[in-house]
Amino acid sequence: MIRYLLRRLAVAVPLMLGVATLVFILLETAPGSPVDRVLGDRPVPAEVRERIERAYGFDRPAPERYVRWLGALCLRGELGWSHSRARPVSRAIGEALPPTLLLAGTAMVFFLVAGIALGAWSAARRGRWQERLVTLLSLGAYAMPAFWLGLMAILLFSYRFGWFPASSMRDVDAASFSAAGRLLDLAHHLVLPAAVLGAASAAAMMRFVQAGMLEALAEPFVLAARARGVSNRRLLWGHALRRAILPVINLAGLSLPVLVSGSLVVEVVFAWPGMGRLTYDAILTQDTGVVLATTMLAALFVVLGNLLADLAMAWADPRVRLREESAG
Amino acid sequence: MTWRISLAIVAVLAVIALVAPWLGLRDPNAQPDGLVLRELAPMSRPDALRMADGTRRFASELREVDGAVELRRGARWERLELETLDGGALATARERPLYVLGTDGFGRDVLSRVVHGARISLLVGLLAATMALALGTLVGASAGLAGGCLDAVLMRFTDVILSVPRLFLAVLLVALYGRSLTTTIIVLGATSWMAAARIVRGQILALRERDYVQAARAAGVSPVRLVRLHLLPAATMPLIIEGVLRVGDTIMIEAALSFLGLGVPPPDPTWGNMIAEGRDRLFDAWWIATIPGLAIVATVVALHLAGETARRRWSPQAG
Repeated sequence: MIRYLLRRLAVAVPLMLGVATLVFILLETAPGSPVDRVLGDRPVPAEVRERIERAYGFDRPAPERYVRWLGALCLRGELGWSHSRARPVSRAIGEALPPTLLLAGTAMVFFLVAGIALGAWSAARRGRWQERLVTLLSLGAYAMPAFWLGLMAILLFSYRFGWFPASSMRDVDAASFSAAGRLLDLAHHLVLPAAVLGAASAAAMMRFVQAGMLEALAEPFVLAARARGVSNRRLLWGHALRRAILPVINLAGLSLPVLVSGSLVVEVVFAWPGMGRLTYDAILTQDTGVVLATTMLAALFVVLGNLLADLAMAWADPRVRLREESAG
Repeated sequence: MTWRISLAIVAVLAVIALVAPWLGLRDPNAQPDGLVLRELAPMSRPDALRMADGTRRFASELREVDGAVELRRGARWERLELETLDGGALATARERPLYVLGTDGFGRDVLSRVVHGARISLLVGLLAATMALALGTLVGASAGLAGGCLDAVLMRFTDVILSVPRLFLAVLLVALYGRSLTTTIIVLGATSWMAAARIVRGQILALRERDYVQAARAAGVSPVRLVRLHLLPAATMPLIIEGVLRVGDTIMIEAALSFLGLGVPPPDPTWGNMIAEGRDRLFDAWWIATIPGLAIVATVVALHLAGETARRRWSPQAG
């Protein structure tokens, strides 16, 4: 298992270095110098410009800047200065990360539970209208842009029915609530954005589990269990689901990019104070350093997600790591 | 059955997008009267008067007084002499134009904007998907044919790009390179060629050692010709399917970019920027954001079904 982990890490680390390099190259080849982007249209004397360029090392050749940038990034986690938030980029990200992790984590729990339950349930009702309904639902959820689904959810559940708050993470009076009240308030604010963020992944999961269950239900071991007199319910939720659930781990890891991309627009719709919101504000204020940093962080999430999925698969299914070891 | 329906929807959409300017719809960017026509609900019929000089006046309310017509625009009443009207009478000049899907905050026709939005959204999707297929074929064929070092470099590069979520990559590119229709298409194409590259490379690796390919190589066939005539035809169907699925994907990402204010710049309508404009008026004028979203859902579902059914029919693995 340790060997397998090291082998996977040996893939993940260069991948992240590649992402950082790609980002640096994009920044270098973009029109306009970074100094221009910060100064904007303000009239600045040439000698002041030069001084700024010297101070930030922009007068050095590109390879040298690349090494310095990468060194600062890897050794000290230095990401530069966010002029829109007036603090280091790393601190701006540090503040925005917990809300996003909370949102994405809740969305993940939601899509796993909803996807597996609906998938298994519809597989048990194959050929009936319930299966068609679930299939239709998943197709619709897949085709809906997350930000539009968010707007529709606000229109329906916040405005029309008034069940959930439409924006932000806490009530304006949250400071005066008791600890339990604050937790409840946070959960109340979480429901809509997490459900919207998880909807597309829930749809994918639903179809995946459905297909896996149908396959598993056709296997001889199910027939044998049925012959032994195992009840339908146990057959479905115990035997077939256990068989169909393995690939789910893999899909959960692969759905991380969807969650990360989705959080960008969902946080904007729900005014959730996380990474997506930070990125959006940075776009509006031309704060390229922040966009770079959040892009790299998003990539890190994806690589970590894949890594975790691989590890979980290897842990759950020894064949995976044995195959890998004998092949390598 | 679903296959036919989805193909029919795709075909209808394509035709509508193609002939949109000749459908007799209103100008999608025209704002004939921002005050009277502002945020009219679907199926509204506002009052309008044809004038003798050929122009048109809109009114929130109309009333006839002796020898003249009074029309209300917002809070103000205006008086128009009867002889300035077309035909000189209220009966001949009065019109009740129908706005089937209502109007937006600037008094523009939502139906016309959705239809013209289809034109831009589908154009962006189609061109970006074509570019993705071309780039993917180029990268995949080079990697598969050359093998060795170049193959390793290209495929690691593909892995790197695949590990940045597409929306973030697109956002970063637009933020760095500026915002226009052309940038949108190029950025979307440049961020979605990876699957095509893997398909082509896989196909070439599978066929590279076959006798007929070896024979062609020995006969001195050039690499370009080898790929075009001997290797690529086998990948045609998977590539077309990938392209169809990519169009739907690209429309979604374009919509997200436009929603973030990084897509096709206004006033040209795309489904994404229409939703973005409707967002602020969601509670007062729900149709502005809702209708283009429905258009996206219908299009993406149809494209997805068409692509998936084609995959099931023609993919050798599924049988």
